[in-house]
Amino acid sequence: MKRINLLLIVLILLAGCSELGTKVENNTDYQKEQLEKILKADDHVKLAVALIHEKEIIAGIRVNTFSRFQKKKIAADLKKKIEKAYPDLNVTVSADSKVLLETEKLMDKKEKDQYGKKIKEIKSIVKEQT
Amino acid sequence: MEQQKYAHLEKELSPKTPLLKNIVRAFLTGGLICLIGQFIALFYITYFDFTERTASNPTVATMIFISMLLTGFGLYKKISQFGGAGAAVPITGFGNAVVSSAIEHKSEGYVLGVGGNMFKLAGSVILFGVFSAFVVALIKTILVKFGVVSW
Repeated sequence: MKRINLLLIVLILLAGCSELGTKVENNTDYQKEQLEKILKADDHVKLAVALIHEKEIIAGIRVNTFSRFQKKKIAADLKKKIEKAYPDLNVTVSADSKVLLETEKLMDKKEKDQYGKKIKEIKSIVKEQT
Repeated sequence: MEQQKYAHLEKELSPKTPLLKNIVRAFLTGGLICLIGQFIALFYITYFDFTERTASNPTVATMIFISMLLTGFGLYKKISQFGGAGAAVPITGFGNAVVSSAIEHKSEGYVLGVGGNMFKLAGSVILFGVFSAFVVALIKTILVKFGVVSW
């Protein structure tokens, strides 16, 4: 029994180590390499999921644990950098895990015609204050 | 008997507080309650349109609801006896304080008994909670003004 418990504890602890990588999906003619480079260059960012669709860039980032106090500032800085690289696109960057989750869910979906609607939804959730 | 003598005698006779044991128990109980709260927050984020920031309100409401049920069934008492401060400090302790005093004074009637005594214990929690929130907000405002942290 004790051994089983020990094994379970080790498994639970190790489960935190499996990490998703940074991924960028592109449905447009714009270059995605630059976006990838910007997201990977930031030391605070643990992983990022980004989507380029029509006139929108949406990026959900997860920051390192001890950078969490600064996560809004980090997201704002990244947004500025991305806006500079893609001047004619609407950029949304958020360090909230909801954005990461929803963007990832969106990528897994195959229906491309629903993307615009979903992106609008995510953007409205992020703006909510209460 | 003199006061000092009595104090000395009382110190000698009363059992020693197992400080380390209490601390470990409080840590485990408080941590477990917070873990459950985190799971509820994650549930709201995953299945509803809440973000990390907005999920805190429904999470707090759910935690208070659960602790009220546990208090009514008499289970929270056992948790408090084991965990001590670990069960009293999180928001569930607040729910427990409200409901337990409401149950206690039910025999005095609903208006003057339950209504008047419901916030007997929790009233001080609200007062000092509001005050400490004010102080913390003041400190954070100053820190943001100096650029140490962001909102």
